[in-house]
Amino acid sequence: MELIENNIIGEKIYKEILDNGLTVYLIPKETKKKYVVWSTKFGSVDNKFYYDNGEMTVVPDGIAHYCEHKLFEQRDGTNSLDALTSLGVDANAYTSNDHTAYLFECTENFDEALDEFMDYVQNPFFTDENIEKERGIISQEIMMYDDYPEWKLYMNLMKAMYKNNEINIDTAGTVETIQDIDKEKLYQIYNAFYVPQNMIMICVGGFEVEDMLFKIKSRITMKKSEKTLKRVYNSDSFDVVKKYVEENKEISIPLVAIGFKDKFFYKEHNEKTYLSENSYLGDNLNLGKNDIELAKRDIAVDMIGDIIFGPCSDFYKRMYESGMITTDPSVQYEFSDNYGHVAIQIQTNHIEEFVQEVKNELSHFIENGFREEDFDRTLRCEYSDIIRSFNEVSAIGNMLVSQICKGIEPFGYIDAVKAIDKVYLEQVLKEIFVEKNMAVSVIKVENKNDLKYNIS
Amino acid sequence: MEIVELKDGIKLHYIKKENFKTDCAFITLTTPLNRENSTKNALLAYMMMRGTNKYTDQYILNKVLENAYGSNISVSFDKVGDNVSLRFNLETIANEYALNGENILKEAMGILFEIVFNPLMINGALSKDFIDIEKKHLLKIIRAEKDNKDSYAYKRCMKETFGENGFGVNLYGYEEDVEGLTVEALTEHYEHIIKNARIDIVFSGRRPLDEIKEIVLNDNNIKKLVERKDTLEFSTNSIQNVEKSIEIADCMDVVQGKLVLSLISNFDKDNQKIVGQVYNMILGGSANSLLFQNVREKNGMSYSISSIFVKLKNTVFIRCGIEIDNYIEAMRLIYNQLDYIKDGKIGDKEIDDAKVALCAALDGIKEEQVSEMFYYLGQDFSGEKMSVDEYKEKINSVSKENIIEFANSLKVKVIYLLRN
Repeated sequence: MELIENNIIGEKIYKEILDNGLTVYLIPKETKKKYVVWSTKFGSVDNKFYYDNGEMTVVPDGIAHYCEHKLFEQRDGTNSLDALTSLGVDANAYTSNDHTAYLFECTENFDEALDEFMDYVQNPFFTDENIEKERGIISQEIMMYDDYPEWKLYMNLMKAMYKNNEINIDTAGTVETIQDIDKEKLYQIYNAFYVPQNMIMICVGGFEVEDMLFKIKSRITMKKSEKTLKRVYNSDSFDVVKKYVEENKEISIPLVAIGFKDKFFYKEHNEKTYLSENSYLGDNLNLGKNDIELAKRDIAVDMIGDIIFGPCSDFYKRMYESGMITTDPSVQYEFSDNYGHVAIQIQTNHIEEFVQEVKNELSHFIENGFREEDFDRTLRCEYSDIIRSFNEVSAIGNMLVSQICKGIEPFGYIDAVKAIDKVYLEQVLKEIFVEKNMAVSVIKVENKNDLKYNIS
Repeated sequence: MEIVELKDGIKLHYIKKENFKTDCAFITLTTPLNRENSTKNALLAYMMMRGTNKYTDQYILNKVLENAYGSNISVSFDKVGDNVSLRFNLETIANEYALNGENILKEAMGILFEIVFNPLMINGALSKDFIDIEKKHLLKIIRAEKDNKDSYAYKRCMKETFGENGFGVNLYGYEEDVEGLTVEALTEHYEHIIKNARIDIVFSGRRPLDEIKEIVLNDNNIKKLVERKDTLEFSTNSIQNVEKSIEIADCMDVVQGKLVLSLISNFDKDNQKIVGQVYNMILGGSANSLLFQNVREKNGMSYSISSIFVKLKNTVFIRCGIEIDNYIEAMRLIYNQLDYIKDGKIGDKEIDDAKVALCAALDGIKEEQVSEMFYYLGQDFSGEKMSVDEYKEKINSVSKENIIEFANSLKVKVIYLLRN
């Protein structure tokens, strides 16, 4: 096992690549809890691929999420989520743009839980009947998200920024697209992406490292895939599709999101689609390519957001005291293999003024740069955020899954924070936060009369 | 966990925790919640975050906190039975991670005490400028409650169940009250709270008790606090004999209907809170629960469905998102689950699963820094002190008969639907 240690954070991470290609990370902690997360690099953006040099396979939107729901079903008609709950284990799963993860947490019954967990992930059982039953549930989930104005704000921004990029696909798909999901398609994506060299397992908590590794190895049944996998993505222009989009919802205060595309993740292609350089996750994990650069860039965007728009900024002071905003804007950087963008989001009744103020503020900092004291103070906050991120067992697991799926190795951030200087921050500011990269999404207030009536 | 009585009505709760990288503390000011004071409480709490006599505005405060390694101070509100706790939270990285040997915790706790006990006063009154700005913000916060439809439906059901008393009162207050609040009224309210509210300071982290006591007892703001009598009532206040349930619907722009039911028990036995928790877990507390299995999994009626037991009000709430056209069928299925337990059809497996889940959650509490702080404070509020093992023993001793009896004591009070 490879030991990766960081004395600043005070943590040790043990890494082992199993014979079948699965990469396992073990993080022992002083706690009774154990947290296990098993992830495949397959998310909502992966809707086209070549498998084993065959024809290109195109799958319906929402299939990664659908598979996540169905994997818990067992051949004997039971459901592994029920079995894990009966053991007193807290189990769950989630799907994101670029990965899907299955996880559980417990203080007791760990071995039994690991049995069940590794069994259901490695042994899919899809039938027409159990797939049909799930359609109603997932439709309800989609409708639930349709009622979240923040979700609509985000999806509209993605559609405004990206014409063809798969980032503008809703993670769960739509009620229409999930009608086309059947067991054949689910087995297709499972066989292609749920292979050990495309997966990572992370265990955090109170255990002996060798013992935990043995437990995992003795339950592995997946074999390394000998087939080739090529992900296919749509080519896209770097230009935004629309500078401004709006939708009306019944909310009290409008929401606005200002998006900036990041050219760092953009490559021009001549054809309508292109083959991704990244195929199986494991092919890229040990190269360490760009991982410090990615972490540096992520930290830089966070610092830029904090200095310019955060609670110590002149911008925030002005906007807050004028009543235009009630909290500091959130600044989120989202990126993966084939997309990268920043979104600045806030609730405000003064949409146009806010957008103009943001543009003015960015121009000011592009022209004048950052003050040394602001840089130093914000860097100190980044350092402490990285320390905090290793505080809690499940948070560590989830953080590492997300990082590693983007190609950033553990401790990448603490190494990156040491390498950042003011010049770099100003460079990233000029690269990303420019008007030509920008789009605005707004959810406006639509007033309907509330009717209250008795229904009995 | 150790409790130090600093003065009458003011306690320090100390938890030694060495396996986290953070030190956490919060101060709660707990006082009865009523229609008259709810808006004042909310406005006051937000206003206190704006500045103190030492750090005269929030930008100075924010800079000091960021310089203290991004120490984070925030405010939140909790209902504790018919009372409200204004909670001022601090989280900071442990001193061991300071790059230059700084005592981050001492500085951060000093700031926390400033915010809570030394808000900016001008000529003996709270700052009018702060109040004017925070009124605008509070109005936006109150209006924005409708934007989260799930949460809004829950609050509406709560209000219809309890009226505008205690637990039914809106924590953020009421729009119609905001404008009329004066500097004088708010200053008076602050002084009343500081003199009369129960004050609890809860700490969890690496520093030894002696060090924390020294930080607390040497703080001038703490020294100025007067003793007070703890007159708060936390006991269950059940509403007897629900005569008839009422059904209410509101219309808003929703794609999915949000359905919330309240069920009140007139159960009045020693272990009712424990029995209620086991009942709630069987009904809708987990993926194995009756609601999850039968409404969602077997019939596809809902993605999100669960139940909550509010111990101090002896009330169960059922919450789910449904397709509006399926309202009748969803209600039928929900009532089937209620009757299933009432009629004694639950089996050993359902009861055992519920007990295992509750005990696992209890085991997990000691492994979560902030959850543990709430656990012990909650016990001190209710006066029912139990170790985790004692609590688990009580859960495991709940019988099927107890659960059936509790189920039959529940009456549906309100059925609330938010629809389009």
